[in-house]
Amino acid sequence: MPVKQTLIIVHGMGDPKDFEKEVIDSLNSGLKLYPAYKKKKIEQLVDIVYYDYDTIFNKYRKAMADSAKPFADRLAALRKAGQSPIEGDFLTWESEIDSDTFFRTHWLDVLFYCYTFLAEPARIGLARKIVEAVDKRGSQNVHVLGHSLGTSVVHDTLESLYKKYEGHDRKKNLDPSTHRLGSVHLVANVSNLLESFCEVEKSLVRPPDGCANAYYQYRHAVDPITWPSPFEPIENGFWTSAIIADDLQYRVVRPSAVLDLNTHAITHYLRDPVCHGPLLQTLNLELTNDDIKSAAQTYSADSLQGKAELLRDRWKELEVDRLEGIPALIQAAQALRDMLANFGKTFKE
Amino acid sequence: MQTLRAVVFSGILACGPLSLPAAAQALPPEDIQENCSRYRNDVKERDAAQRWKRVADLAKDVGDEYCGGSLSPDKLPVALFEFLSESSRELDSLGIDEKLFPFRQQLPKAKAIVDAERGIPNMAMLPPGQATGVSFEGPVRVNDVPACDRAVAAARETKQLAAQSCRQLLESLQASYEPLQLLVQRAYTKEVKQYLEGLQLRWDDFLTRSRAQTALELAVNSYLWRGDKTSGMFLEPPTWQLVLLHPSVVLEYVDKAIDGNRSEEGLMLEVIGANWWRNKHWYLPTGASYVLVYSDRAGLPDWANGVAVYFDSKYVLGATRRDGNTGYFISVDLLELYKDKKKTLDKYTRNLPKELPK
Repeated sequence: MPVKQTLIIVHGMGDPKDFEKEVIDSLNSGLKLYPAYKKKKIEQLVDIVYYDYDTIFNKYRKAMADSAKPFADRLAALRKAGQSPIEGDFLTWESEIDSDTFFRTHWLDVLFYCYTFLAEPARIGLARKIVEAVDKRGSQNVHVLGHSLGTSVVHDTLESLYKKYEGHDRKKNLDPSTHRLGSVHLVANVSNLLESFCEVEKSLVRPPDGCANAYYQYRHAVDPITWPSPFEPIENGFWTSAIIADDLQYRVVRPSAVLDLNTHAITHYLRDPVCHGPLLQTLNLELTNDDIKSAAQTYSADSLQGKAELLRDRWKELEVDRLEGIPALIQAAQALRDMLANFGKTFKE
Repeated sequence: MQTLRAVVFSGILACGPLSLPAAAQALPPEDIQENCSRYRNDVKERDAAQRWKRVADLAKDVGDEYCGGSLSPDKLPVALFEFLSESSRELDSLGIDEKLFPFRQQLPKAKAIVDAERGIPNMAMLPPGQATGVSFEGPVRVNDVPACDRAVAAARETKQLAAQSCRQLLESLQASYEPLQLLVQRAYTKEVKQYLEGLQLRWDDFLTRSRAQTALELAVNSYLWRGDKTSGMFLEPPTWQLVLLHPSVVLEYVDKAIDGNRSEEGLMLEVIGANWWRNKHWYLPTGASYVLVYSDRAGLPDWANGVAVYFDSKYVLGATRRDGNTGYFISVDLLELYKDKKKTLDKYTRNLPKELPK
């Protein structure tokens, strides 16, 4: 009996309270497509470890709001009384930062992660989860999956954890040779778009001499968030054409079936056999490529006819692929949210 | 055939003084005991190893020597390398040679890592359904699985192994190797784990004890902190905070103001200052800033210049000057602290008997 594998999952933007359940439910719905596994639950087959960095951001957001509120309230009272010692919306934004609006729950996560030191405790927390799992199971039996903003958190954490930094003693880093992870799965990968302290194309987050045996990224054909600055490895001394061409080491999984208009949702990715198939294979489930093909056919029979074209035309019209940097992510997601709102749906990662 | 002990010993001699870093060498006996207890559990969990008993026995020899104290932790990677070399020869003897399964070609890479005192590579099975082979410094595939299956079937005839297929044979090899390699992994993970735990505590401490910041301060302080953040490192939390245009509410007392106007709530804007949040002595200030305070009083200017001093990164005391008049202020936080204490005191006194017994 093979050793039970551990899958660490890292959420994207927004409120992540359902993320773990969504991943588990999606994979369980996927298992039903395979005769050998249809009575099994993913929790029996794999240890799923959920990592939530949003608590760090939320705590800080609350501290900012609590600190700003007395001043903002007092200022508002003075203005009401006809006095205005300070012009402008001073601190109104901070005092309301804790309220649950789209900007504050989604974009603020991106801004906090990309521009503030709050990213570091978020990465350290994930590094601890990884090291604990490695210590328990052995690195080859540990796999990490990130979604959306979580792909950046996963990438940057692994680069910080594994890269040998001159002047550091060994106690601070894992060695890619001796502690190489089973696999890394980046769903709706934005690590290149949000690149910060290291160049993604040169990072240690790569096979086979990097920190993982396999690097799989998942990019839905009509998920607009994956359109700006996608990560396309090229032969550069770190990535080679042999690695890029080897399915065991590297894959860009490109699902195209549209079963829900929210093509960015983790559920939409993981329910699709094209995505969960390779993931489950790396987790040692006995699935052949033919099993996955057949499941994909069954799955895509339920796809929304004509919606893929509609979405593709919409994103082309908005030229989301021409956008760059953090504004690109924000605008692409904004476009998806607006489009979903037109259909009476709520954007949820 | 040579015993593995002899193989290991000759390997150690041949490789020279190879070793793990100092921390891994100097394992106290209780650590070795704990490692061995975990090792035995790992072996139990990997019963697939028994399908290829010959290799499982080779691994057991190494494990027994480690747990028995005759193989020091620093020599474990060398012993493991010899185990791999011996296993590779065993594969050859089963007819699964380099052409069929080019595992031996990978061994020089492993040797280089052992020589560089970096431990020894880990090994994983290639995902079922995709290929038969192992991941070991890159994927090593069985080139002709049916031929390999036939070799395994032939070896079963001679009762050399219980594996039913080529995949099962390699699973046995991997299952024998893994518990020993985990001993090498854990020698390092323990230290990295401790380092990260400490670092996370220091960040928690910073996030709890430092001053709450505005968005502007957060952006500026993050920029200053980031400095030369690069790959391969996690940074410590900032040791100090720049205070910049930080607004808050204070209670200001101006003695020279007219009656009824002496104590007023005021708006304070800390123009610039700094806070060293780590100071643990409550009676020593953690920081100070130049401030402007606004309060509405008859006969006095609304705005005053001043200086604020913080204690425990939270409580502010300060003084202002407007038109030659000195004012004193405290932060609302400090007032809240006083209120809380007063509430506690009130509660306590309520429970006291109305009159003391005579």
